[in-house]
Amino acid sequence: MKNTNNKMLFFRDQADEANVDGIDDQLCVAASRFVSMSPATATTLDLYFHSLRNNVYMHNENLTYDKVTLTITQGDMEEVMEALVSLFNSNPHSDGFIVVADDCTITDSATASLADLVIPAVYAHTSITGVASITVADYGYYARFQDVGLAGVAPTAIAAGALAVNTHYTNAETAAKAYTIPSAHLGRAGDWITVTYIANIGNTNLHSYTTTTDTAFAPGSMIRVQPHDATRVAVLDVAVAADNILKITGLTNGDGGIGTTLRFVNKTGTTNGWAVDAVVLGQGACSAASATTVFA
Amino acid sequence: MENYFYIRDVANEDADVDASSSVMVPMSGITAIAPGTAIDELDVHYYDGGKNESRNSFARLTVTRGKLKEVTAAVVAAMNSRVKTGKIVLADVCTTSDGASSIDGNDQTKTAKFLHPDITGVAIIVG
Repeated sequence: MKNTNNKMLFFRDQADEANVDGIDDQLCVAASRFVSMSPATATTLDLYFHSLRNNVYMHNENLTYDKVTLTITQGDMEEVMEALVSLFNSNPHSDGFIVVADDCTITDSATASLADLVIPAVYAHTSITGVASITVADYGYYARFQDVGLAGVAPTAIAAGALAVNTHYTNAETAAKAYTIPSAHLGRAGDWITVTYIANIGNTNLHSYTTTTDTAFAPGSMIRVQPHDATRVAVLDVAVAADNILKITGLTNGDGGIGTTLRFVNKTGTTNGWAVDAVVLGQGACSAASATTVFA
Repeated sequence: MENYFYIRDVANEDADVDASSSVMVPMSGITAIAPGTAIDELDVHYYDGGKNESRNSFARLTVTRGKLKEVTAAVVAAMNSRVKTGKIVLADVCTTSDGASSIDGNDQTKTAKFLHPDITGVAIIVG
């Protein structure tokens, strides 16, 4: 006796099985994830599915649907859609494996006698003529920069050494200090750290924030030095490959002032996943140009 | 009753310590089955309690070249089969037991199990 609660829809868009080496070549998707179907052109029909790679029940605002596009005989759009619906609701005695469209006509195998054999393409309806494409949305992450000062808890006074994720820090340290950011792959996407300066960094003293094991901040990480006058102009430093240290050097009437904020977020939960957005304010008269606040 | 796939990708039970070592996932949590990045890789995607809650995980099966469709069909058939306890081993590469007071004893030889003869290995990729 079979239990067909888990119907799976099979699509393949490669004529030669030797070319089936990716999710865009073959897809067997749960029928329960079907969303809708509608024409894309007079001869193509798009079938939409909830993202198979992402949890649609959480943080789904940025997700896109997976899509399989079938090529069909012009004029048979309604007939094909009706046939597919019938198919989805049929097979009460099957094992749940439903071939909707399979373009494959040549086998592949490491065994020579089983390779390059001609097999028939299979379509669930005579007006389905092929699979034009299989498009699967990439992984998404809920990983956004945390607002500073909205934690709902008292911030933590920072200390040199390893910082803890999901923590709002205040930094009152004026001497040279070195801080480290935990390995991105040991955490999860969405982990964050914020640092808000409540004291000026002493002149020439370096505050460094170095990733642990990661060799780079995520692309797009940036330091933004706010402008004050014609001498202390705005500076923007965007992290490049191999930049895994954020450096802020205190400067009399220059960098490292109260109100400087650093926001780190783990974008991927994998190596080199930490992104940072640093806004560096001046101190004193704010009359000295920013010089050594950079990625390295 | 719902069936569940059991998947384990460590050779020794003493390494069966986290979500990337083994998982039991309900069939209703299977979202898709599709090739990985090579002609002998088949990924079974599923919801789980992975470390990144917004993305799903998958088990990457190593399969015999040219058998992607056959193995896919076999996995689907298993999803919809009737079994006594609900547990179906999709792939378990464990061959050594752990724990002197455990049911299997310590360092005893176990047999790797695969749902289909064309499945030869597995790796769990936690989302």
